[in-house]
Amino acid sequence: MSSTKTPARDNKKRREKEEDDEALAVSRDKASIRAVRVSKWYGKVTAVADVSLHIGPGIWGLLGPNGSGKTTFMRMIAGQITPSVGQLLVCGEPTFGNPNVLRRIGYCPESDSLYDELTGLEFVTAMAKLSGYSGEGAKKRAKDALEEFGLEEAIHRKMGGYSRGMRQRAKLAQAVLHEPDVLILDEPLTGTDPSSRQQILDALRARATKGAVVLFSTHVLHEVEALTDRLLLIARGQVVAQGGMQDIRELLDEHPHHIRVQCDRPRDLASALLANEKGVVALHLPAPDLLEVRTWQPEETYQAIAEQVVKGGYRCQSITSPDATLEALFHYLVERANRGAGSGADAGTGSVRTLESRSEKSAYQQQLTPGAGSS
Amino acid sequence: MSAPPAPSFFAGVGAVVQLTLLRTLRGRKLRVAAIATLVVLLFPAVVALLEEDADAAAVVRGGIDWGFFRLLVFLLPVLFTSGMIGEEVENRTLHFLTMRPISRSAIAIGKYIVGAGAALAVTWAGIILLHVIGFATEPSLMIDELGNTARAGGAASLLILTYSGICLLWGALTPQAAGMISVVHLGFFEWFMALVPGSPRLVSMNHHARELGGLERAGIAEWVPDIELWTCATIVVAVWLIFTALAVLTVQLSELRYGKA
Repeated sequence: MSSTKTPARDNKKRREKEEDDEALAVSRDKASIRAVRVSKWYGKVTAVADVSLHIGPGIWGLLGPNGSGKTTFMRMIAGQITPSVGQLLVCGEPTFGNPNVLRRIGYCPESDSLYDELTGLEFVTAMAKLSGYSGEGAKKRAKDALEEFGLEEAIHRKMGGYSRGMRQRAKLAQAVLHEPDVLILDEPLTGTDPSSRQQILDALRARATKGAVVLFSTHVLHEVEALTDRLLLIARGQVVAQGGMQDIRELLDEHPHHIRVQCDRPRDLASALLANEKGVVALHLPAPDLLEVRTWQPEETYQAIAEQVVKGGYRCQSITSPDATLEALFHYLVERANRGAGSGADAGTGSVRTLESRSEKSAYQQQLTPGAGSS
Repeated sequence: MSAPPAPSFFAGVGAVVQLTLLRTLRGRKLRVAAIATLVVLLFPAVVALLEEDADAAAVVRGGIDWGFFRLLVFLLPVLFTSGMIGEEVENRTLHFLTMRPISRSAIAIGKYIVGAGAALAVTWAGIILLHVIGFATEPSLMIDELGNTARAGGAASLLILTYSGICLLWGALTPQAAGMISVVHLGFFEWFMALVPGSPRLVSMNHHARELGGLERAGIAEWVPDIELWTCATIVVAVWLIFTALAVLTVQLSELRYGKA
């Protein structure tokens, strides 16, 4: 039995290996980021948990609340740190201490620390030399990059005197000066004014058009909307959703909202709302002057609360929504993902999937296939 | 997209040296080092210029012994090299180097060259100045004693190279406390142990360098074994190379505490 099975198994393994090699060869040439069951932890703290994804050319937004693992994930991609387990490949190769791949990566870190004693031109020229340019070529590259981000007036000024927005643009200039295939930008729009924001967005779009992978992180939804429709949502170190802006919007709408009303007679208000409002799914009285409403129809419920407050003559101190934020959405998605953990939907990849209900499952699987991420 | 080929190892070292040198020249540390050296030179200068009967050779040797072997050889490497890696990790600027397509070893070596080079430059400037001031009143001795001063300066240089390697290693291993741990290491193993009697003194490179430099033994010099000069030199060079290689290896392999966001 075993003698007949072994050659077949060997053939299968060989085929698989050939396919893997082929995929790797393709991804080596092509700008791509591929993570296979990547985790990173520091002692008992898990920063990134079992992330699998494959992304190709185009602009990708990495969206997540503070402390969700965005920066750690980006540092791994940029070769600053290594995964604790799993495999992270950029253009088909691991990044940590690998000059062959690092030359194809541009990284704009989140921190706005710079070499304050240097001028913008000196700094970016030094970065160009470290990227492989020499002499005048490096200086020209540096000048062009700084000009692209509107810093031509300030290139001879020491960076210690730069504003936050200027520092951000200097960091971006050093990230793009060598025309990288993969551009990793950690909160690139922080501290920028509207006009420089536009310059930055144009520069990123231009790179993506030329075939680069541009992955940028933010915790502000409208920043993503200005730049891309392709999103990765990360929370508690997990990629909890991947898809287009519309999908995220729908998830926001799907997400049950909480509304907190501080007033003098919350019990009366609660009964009035229950009688009149269809969208309300739960009511809670956590304090003598507090009513918490859980609803599927936040707009209608806000309207109904306002009407009841006026009609019933309540003395209302505040109406707030503690969770009408991305943070709440992420929390919701993680909970949803955890509830579905036993389904085995992503058993092969280890990543968490939350959008399959809208027939994107095949697209998602395609994205996990080498070369298909840009589609 | 057309990223250029990764630079060679030596081109990488060169680029790191250029950048680090520019930062060092613009920074405060060079000024602090220059002021410290001038303060150290003040005492022998006053003695040499005001005391007509002073033995110029003794003044210069005393200046080298107390000012350099007991003070500046410790201060300068800590000042220039312990923060080379650590401060950049703390300030979150090391990303700009480690993200580039150069070997991490090139980063460590480039920084070591500038740190140790700056300490050597200040030391030699100080020693030459001391020599000139010390023998200002006796020009003939200035030439005759040049060999002795150069020998002491050479030993101090070897010591600075070694201490710079030690400081670089602690900077890579413990970026957040590099200066303090370097001071503790040098203070105990090098400064204090160079004063103790007997064989334990042999762990101090300062002791071996003093022998190489032709200086008197410091502290309680009883029961200290005599070692041939070439053995002293070999020990110091070996320790220098070991610590520097460990520092380079640490930078090459370590995440340098980037983990904490």
